[in-house]
Amino acid sequence: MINSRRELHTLMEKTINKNLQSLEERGEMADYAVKTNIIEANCGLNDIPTEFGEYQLEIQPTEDKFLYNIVVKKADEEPFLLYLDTFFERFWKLYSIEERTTILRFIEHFTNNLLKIDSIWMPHQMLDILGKDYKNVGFSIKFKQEVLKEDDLLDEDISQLTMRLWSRGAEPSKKIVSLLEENKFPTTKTSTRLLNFKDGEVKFLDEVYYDGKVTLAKGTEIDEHIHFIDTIIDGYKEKMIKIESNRMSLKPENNGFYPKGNPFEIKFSRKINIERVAEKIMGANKPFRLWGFIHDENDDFLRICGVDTHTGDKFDMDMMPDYARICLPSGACGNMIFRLYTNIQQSMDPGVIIYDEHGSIF
Amino acid sequence: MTNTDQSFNHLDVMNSVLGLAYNLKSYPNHLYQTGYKIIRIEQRIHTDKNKGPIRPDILFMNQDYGLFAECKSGEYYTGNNIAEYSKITLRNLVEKGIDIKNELLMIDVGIFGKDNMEELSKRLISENIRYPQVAITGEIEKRGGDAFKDPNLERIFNTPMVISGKAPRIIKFCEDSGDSDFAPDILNCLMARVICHQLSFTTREITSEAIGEMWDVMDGHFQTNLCTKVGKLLRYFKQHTSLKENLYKNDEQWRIEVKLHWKSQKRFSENCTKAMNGLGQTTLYDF
Repeated sequence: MINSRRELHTLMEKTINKNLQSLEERGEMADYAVKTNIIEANCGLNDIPTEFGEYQLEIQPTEDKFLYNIVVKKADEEPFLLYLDTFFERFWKLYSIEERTTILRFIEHFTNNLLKIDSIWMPHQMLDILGKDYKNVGFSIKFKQEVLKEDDLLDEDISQLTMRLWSRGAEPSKKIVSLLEENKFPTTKTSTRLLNFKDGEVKFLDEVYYDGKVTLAKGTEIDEHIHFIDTIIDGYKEKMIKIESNRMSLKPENNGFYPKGNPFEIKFSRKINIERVAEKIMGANKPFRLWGFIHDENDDFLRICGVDTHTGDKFDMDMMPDYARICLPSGACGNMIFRLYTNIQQSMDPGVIIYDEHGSIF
Repeated sequence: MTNTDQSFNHLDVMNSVLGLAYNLKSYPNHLYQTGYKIIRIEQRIHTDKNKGPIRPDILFMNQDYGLFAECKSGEYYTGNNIAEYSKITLRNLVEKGIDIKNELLMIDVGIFGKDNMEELSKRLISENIRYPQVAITGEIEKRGGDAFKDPNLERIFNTPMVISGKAPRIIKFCEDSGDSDFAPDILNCLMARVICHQLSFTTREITSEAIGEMWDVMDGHFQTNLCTKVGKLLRYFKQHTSLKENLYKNDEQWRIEVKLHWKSQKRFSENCTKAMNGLGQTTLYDF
């Protein structure tokens, strides 16, 4: 348990120092890596149920107004500790020094089963932007066609590609990506490995995943890692503001009405089978988690009313072979747009583009 | 054609015209391209103190021009006051709190329709109404009337452009909306309630949720009318569609039940689509 932010920093710094020393001496870590998960929260901490699925949560405050210990209990398993930082009202940071799969399983339940709680969803363009201030020393690419069926695909279409590359310098990463692009292979990164090397030492080596998980593989200064997490949140927040400024409404004004907002437009890189795509996307299932029904249908056009199962927010979607349009009403959570786009990119169409009024969003 | 059908088409024409003002790639953006923005919808304007207000459907404006778009879904009815639209002055706009960017702003009036345009055009000529006329069907094209004062509008609407798909659903219902206009939003509200575990509701609650922020500015009479329509719609869903397995009623209280499992949710979606298709073939007046 920690009582203050200072204690949390000390704990994490001790862990990374111990791991660094052990890595240098024995080539392996002494303890589990420090991990941070960025959570998108549309609710207050009081709205989080203390029991969900097989988990029980015990939330304990610290001297810091925004920092909490969370003891997580699960039947027949050892309880484990998480540290929740709610300083950014909408984007919480969940720190942990626990075994990887234990945390993965918990986050999966936490972000999928609780209303108003979601992970963040970074398409590969956002992961690429993160790399511009650091040395990119690796990445993961994961593309699996999960929407279109064999008969929708062309001979040259790649239905699955998984790749993980760790390199010493940035050059091998760049060359491999160029090679993939030249051969029209999917280059949808699902993680990027970034090295912050300053003043002759490794400040951190972080692996950032599309869903907001950041693993600190190596480092000397925990503050640098935390600052980096905050810049990820800043970038995400900026996109969120842009996306949510497009939410649509009809405002009354002087005995008339004035419409605000704009539809989003998704451009597929090739014609799609609209019935199949609508069924997959709107099936209230992972990974899209959208639930909808078709209420207008004619040749090459479907109109859908849907609900984001993460929040209960409503939306409208039109689907055409080349395009989809989404209208988010005022008040709806913009994370749905990140989730939809990122998942189309990873499981259907790596070349997909999403636009708002001013052009491509990502 | 029933009233219900006609109002649906009016909404459809409204959205077809409004859609032109958005920068979309999946739908023509003629008004966006020519710098127009949507300024007001259904703005009441008094041009003559001895007559009631006129209410053109949509006002668009760019730096130098205003465009009043009148959306027509019928073939014979041109409207009582349509000739009055040409009398709208800058002063009328200023009085309604509309920003004027140019003291020489010129105002166009355009008649927009769909397949009804050919017949309507004859009617307009017979009534000596010469506003420019644009048809938005499988393609968008100016079909008759005088030239637009804005040369860019005249040019762009005189070049036919094919439309695939439909215009976005910018407005969801209007005063005369029929069942099939607001039914999707009612079903959508039911889904949202299932997700948020708010399973019980009154007809009034679900109606106000479907209408959203507009509910509070509607007059009481209109609210009551809408509630009556929605009540009828819910009863229709309960009695005549497969949604009967999800909808329950006890006195004034409705209840929606759908298991939070993707299979049950999928079944509910299919039931909603079937119920909507059923509505397309009939109207509540039949029940």
